[in-house]
Amino acid sequence: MQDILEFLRQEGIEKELIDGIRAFRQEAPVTGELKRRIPAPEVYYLGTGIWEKAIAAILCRKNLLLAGPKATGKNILAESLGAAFERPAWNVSFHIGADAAYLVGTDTFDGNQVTFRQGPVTLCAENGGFGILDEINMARNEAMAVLHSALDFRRELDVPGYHLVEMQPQTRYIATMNYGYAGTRELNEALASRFVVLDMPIIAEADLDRLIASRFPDLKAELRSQFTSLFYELDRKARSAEVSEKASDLRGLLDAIDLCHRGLRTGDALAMCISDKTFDPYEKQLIQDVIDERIDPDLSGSDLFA
Amino acid sequence: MIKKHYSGLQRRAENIIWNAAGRYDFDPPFMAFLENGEPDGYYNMVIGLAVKWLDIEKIEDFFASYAGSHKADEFDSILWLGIENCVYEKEVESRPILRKIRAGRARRFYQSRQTLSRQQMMLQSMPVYDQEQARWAKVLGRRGDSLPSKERKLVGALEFSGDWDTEAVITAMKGILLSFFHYDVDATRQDSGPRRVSGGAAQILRRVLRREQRYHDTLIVRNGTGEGDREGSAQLSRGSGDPVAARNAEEDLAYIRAAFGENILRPKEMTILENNLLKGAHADCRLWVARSRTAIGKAQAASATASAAERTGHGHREAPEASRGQDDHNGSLSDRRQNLPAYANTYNREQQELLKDLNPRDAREIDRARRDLREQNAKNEQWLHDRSQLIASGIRRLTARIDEALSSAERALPENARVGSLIAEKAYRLPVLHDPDVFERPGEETERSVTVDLLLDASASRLNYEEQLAAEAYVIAKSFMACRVPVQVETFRSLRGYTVLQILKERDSRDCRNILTYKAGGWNRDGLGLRLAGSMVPDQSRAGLRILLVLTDASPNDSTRILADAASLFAREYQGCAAVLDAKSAVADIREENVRVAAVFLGPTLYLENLHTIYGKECVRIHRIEQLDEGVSDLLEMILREAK
Repeated sequence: MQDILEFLRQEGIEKELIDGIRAFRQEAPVTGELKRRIPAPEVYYLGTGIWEKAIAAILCRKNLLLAGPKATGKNILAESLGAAFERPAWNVSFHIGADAAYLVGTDTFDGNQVTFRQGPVTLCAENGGFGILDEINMARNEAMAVLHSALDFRRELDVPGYHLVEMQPQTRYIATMNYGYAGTRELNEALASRFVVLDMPIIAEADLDRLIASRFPDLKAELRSQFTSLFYELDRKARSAEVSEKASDLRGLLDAIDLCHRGLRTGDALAMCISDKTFDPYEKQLIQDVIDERIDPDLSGSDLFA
Repeated sequence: MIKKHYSGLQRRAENIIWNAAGRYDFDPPFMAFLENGEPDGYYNMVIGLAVKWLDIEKIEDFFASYAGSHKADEFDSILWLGIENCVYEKEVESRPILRKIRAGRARRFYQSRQTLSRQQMMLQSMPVYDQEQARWAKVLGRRGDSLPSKERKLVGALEFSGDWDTEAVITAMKGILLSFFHYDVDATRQDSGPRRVSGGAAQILRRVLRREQRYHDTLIVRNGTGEGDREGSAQLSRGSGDPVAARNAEEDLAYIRAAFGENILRPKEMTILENNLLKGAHADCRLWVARSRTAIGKAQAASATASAAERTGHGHREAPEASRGQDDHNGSLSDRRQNLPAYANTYNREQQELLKDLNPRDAREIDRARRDLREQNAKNEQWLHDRSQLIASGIRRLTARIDEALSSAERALPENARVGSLIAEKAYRLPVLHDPDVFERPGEETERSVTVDLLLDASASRLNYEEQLAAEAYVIAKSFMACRVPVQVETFRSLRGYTVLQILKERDSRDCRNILTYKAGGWNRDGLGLRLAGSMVPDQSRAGLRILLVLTDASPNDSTRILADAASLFAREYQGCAAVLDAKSAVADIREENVRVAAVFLGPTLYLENLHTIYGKECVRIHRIEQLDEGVSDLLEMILREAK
């Protein structure tokens, strides 16, 4: 995998920002077991403007909220930031049952005594890591009130019965949210004000083309453009409320190309990774129509890859 | 091959067209279907590509210019072959699969030719057939049937180039009609003048026609298309005279009783309700709360039905697919189907009694209104049946979304566990009893305490949407019920000074088919209708979260005027700003009672501002039933957020 700072330079990121990352890395280099926690994404996020905003925010000790619909690369960016700044990452997937104990830690019985078992937020704070709070708006706002002091200028976490956890200076929290999913909610003002918000755009056509090219360098260019068009056609259909958001699935598209790379025919691969993910027969038919109107279902690995 | 209107699988065809066009903001002017009724994938793509590459409005205008010709269908099919070639050449480079799809379409043509009977062949237009076979033979590289010289020339003329723009295409189409069919489009236009009214003129005409309804206080209306506010579907009332002027209290009461059945509230309840609601702007109004007429009929016919069903046993209309096996009112589907003629008879006997109290004109009106109601019921069921797959998937999607939204709002009840928050008062059990379950964590059990009242505006302004609204209410009711949320479905309208609330589905009933008895007619005094519906919502002890969901066009108006009050020295019409503000204050009053009021808007953009004035941000606009799941679940999430 290409060195990420070199990648950023090639992407045209401002030199000052890259120098800032270098300086940040040298403040407190990660050692020992924690090194395994530094993310190593398969692909880096593509999009110069977003990169620059995110780097600037992190260098200014801000916590980031990446907001945007599906397939905008929120998690890729979060992981890429961890890799760029070389910080260990703790991933916390939020769900409706997520509560303070899930984030900060719980009491448990250890041998003869009740002990405190640290949660991911506490571990991240103590080790100067990047806490990736995935789908933060799936949880109740009151469950996250416990994070307020960690996220604002106080940068500390008081755990009753345990002790005051002071956050290492390198600690940052990067939250992601999709405001379109059913079951999500609006972040309350108190929580939202503790983040700087990056409104994530859907990946640009040229960037998607590059992303596919970087993942599958041997995929023929003319077919790459057909896969790119397919993604935008499905996305347009989802945004027009003709089908659900499940159809706009970038991960699924990349997985389908991957399956083709292993020898599966395009029709089967796209069905497995995109259309069959919808269990409603009517909606599945609409999605299948879009696929059929763009990609020949009988293409095999040798037709696709040079 | 290409038709201007179609139902059934048309949504799929539309999707193919929109996808090829790369836009979803237009109604396709044409759709293509195969002989078996399935959408013609390739030709629908061609229509979409025509939208993408050409100025479709000009093309559409051109097609409209010969719409009066008896050969219009033939011309359509032939000229689309020209457009097909043009857009194919334009698109194929950026969409290589098109080559394969086109070849597939060509092969399909030859396959279907082998299976056509002689009679089917004879029904086809030979010039169209010749041109199609020549086109598809060329696509497949075959040698086509030999054609006379004129037809061969037409084959060449229909190979529109991919380099042409809209003007060139239209010029070529005009030339073909003139040279090969001796049909001069320009001359015909001048001779006959405009064949159709469109744009602003059509809107004005529609408004004038629609306006006519304002002068009739009657239930009798011609049925609409159910497809919305389409051109040419403006409705007229069949009533005559001026019933408002002739109104008197006894006749009005008899009319309302005959039209809607007995008031289901006891006199004392009614008095309390009237004292509470009939004041201010509504002081001159009256109230009526009734069950849907078919529900009454069914109950009364229950005994008569069984024997009638045994005698007949067959010959009744199919029920909608979507509802099969899901409704459970006192019996099976077969019972229900066999019920229809029996309860209709009972219904007539009961109603004959009520008709005696009416003057002859009102009796005739009511008789006709009952027939209209039965016809509309059949239309609603047919609409649902034609779209059974769409409806079933709509229910599935909305159920999933409601379930998820409600799950995210309900709080899990705590349970004892070995990890979690230590329960101080139980901590002694650990060392003393060696009981490790002294911690508390969120458990699996949850509680859901929600009730929904679905209120449909049943005034004449909904005439063109009756089938769609009935289907929407059906989908919403079914979905909430699937999530264990009790739903009551009601309609409201105003007629002869009465604001009538009619219950189509009661809260404790699981029968949703009655919703399909929805029929529009009359006025809508939203302020009073909403207050009346608000009074039917159960009190808070029965449900923590009470939702009143209104399907509306946000256009209140009524023939009973607002009496003079502090705001105005003179009595005012119940319409426009005054009516909207009255509805707004009704919504505010209901919300004061801790009932969440939200609206689903289906209607013209003209009234959007009213919608926001009346309901604030708790409203959503939908254009099609496919958007219902997203719209309703968004509203529900908004309500749940506010409730927190």
